[in-house]
Amino acid sequence: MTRTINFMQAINEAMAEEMRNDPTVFVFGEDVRVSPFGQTAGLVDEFGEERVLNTPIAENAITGAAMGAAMNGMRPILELMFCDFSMLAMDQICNHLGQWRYITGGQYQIPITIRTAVGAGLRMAYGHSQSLESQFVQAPGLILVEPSTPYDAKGLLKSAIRSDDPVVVFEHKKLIFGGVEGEVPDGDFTIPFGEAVVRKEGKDATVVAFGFMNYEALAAAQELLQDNIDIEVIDPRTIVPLDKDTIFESLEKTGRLIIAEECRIRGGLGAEIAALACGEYFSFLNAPVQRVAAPMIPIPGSPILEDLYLPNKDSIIRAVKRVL
Amino acid sequence: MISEIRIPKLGMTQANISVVELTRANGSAVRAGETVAVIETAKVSFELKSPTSGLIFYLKKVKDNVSIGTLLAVVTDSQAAFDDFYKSLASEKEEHACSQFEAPENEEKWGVQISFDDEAPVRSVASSLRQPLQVDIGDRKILKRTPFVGMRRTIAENLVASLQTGAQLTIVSEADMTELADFRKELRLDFPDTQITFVDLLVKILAFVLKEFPVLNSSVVGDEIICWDEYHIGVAVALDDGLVVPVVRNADKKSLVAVSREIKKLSRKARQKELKPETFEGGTFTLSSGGKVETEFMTPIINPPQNAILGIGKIGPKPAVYQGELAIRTRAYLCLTHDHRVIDGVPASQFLGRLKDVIEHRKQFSKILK
Repeated sequence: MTRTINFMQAINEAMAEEMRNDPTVFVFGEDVRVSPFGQTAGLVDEFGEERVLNTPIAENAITGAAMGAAMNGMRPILELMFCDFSMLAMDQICNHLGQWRYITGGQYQIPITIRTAVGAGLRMAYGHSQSLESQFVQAPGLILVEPSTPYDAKGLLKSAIRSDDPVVVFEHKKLIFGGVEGEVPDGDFTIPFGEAVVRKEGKDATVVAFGFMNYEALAAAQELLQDNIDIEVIDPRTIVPLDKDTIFESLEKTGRLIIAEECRIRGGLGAEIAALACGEYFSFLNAPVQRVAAPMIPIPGSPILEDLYLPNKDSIIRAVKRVL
Repeated sequence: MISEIRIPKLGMTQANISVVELTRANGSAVRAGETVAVIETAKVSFELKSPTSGLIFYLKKVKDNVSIGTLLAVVTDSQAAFDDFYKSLASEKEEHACSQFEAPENEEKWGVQISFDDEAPVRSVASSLRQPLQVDIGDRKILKRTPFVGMRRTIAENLVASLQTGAQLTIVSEADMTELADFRKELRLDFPDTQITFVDLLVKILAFVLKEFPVLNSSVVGDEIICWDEYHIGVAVALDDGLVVPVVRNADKKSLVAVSREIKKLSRKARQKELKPETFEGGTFTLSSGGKVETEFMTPIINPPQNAILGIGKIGPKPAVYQGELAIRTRAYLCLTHDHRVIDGVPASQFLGRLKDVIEHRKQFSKILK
């Protein structure tokens, strides 16, 4: 049996269910009791103020506090409201979280889940709009998750909360506020890390799309069909670990690779996948790998310029046509 | 509510599906996604999962032969629901004399799997397998009884058929793998994420050398010998209860790291019984490694419709004459079985010699292993 819920509900349900199942799970972050976006709304009513904790506006300190709790047997869900703010906590996240299991010879596990919102297009200008996933890719020991549907959001967030290693979940604001709906199964389910899904099968080119870009890629696919171009759209769902098998099996079939992301282009997720493809599947590439990403500029405050900044359906279509 | 569990279509294989395990007791509770039965086709073993939660009732037994679409089991809310369902099924059966619950028509052909050659000799092979020597079990002590069906049966039939249809012989050469072993250690430093094995290295080397000897990468189809311009290398993977040979496609085009990752994925899926039948199809040459066991050399049996197979014996330190001196070197036997109908002794020996040449010299293999 399935039912239809939206992206925000999926995140809320995943947290509520895990909090019911496991008393060590608690929510921690700025304004999580009121929840200005709504993901943690209502949790304080069911679980009380002891398990839904408001924190000061001090990202580095609260990430460190959550890490301490995790080392002492708790399973914190830490909300860093905007991904832009997570940069303040990069010392804890990149220098410590992912490395402590190794540094302590496995004596400590760090079962912490960090949720943070990414994505532009909501007129929030440069400080509240960035997609900074690629900043985290360099840190060892972190699992990075970017769901694009309610099903994935719920299943992956539950996996993240149960994981004994630190996981960062990137939630796109257009999915949170846009009310994107989808089916989820009744009852408990999880989605393993490192398993991509093929959103649309095709034969002419492979488009790997992260998070919200899946919707742009699927719209591009629809439009390209009018020109008899049939692209395959792959949603990796987890950035780290990356499901290379699904991507490269598709590349073996299509011979053309396009990576679409909302991060900036320099050193982005597309750069990593392009390098992997060139290193391992060079003979299958019938055309240069294309990257669709944001330009190397601050996100403009002007709505018109912000729309130009964002990679979208049209930039994906142009990239596909360049290689066909 | 009744949820049916039917035998799914598993790739190209249509016939000879048997039930090898029913994992739950009749009437017991199952959850959605739980494994409820294991079936085996000629090529793979496959786990069937419950589509929903409820009570499971099986309509087939272990060792039953089934075909695609056969109703294997149902999941219901209650015993009463199953009883009603069973009654309706029974009356339906009377009306239509439904063949679904009877032995498949092709049972007579049980064992005839091989289609690459004349059927006549194969049929006799199959029938000889069907009538083993009579053994009087009487009151003899038995440790274990295993149904001789499914994958085990397929392995048996394919191997016997292979020996009966070709003119197989094995030639052996010993190769010095010291340089390759050193190279492998360096790769471990350069690619810490991927543990490169000798099998990975040899698949790449084979794909390269086969290009120089097209007849080794061939099949007999009808009255033609077809040399393939694709290099799909089968890699034998030992399982707890058998052996499968998944295929690394286009091994010549993929990088070493990609080949390595693919072999690991195929092996993992084979052990988890998740391999799809397509994975076994289209191989043009097979590599069988005795690697982790103590076997020095072997006479591998060709995997039809291929015409050759390479077996690698134990890779380890051995005394050898190296640059005129007695030295301890890492060596292994390369055992090439070829079908003399298609490949004569000299080309086979030349192939083996060239393979040895590439394996022994870094200058040669380092160009391939990138």
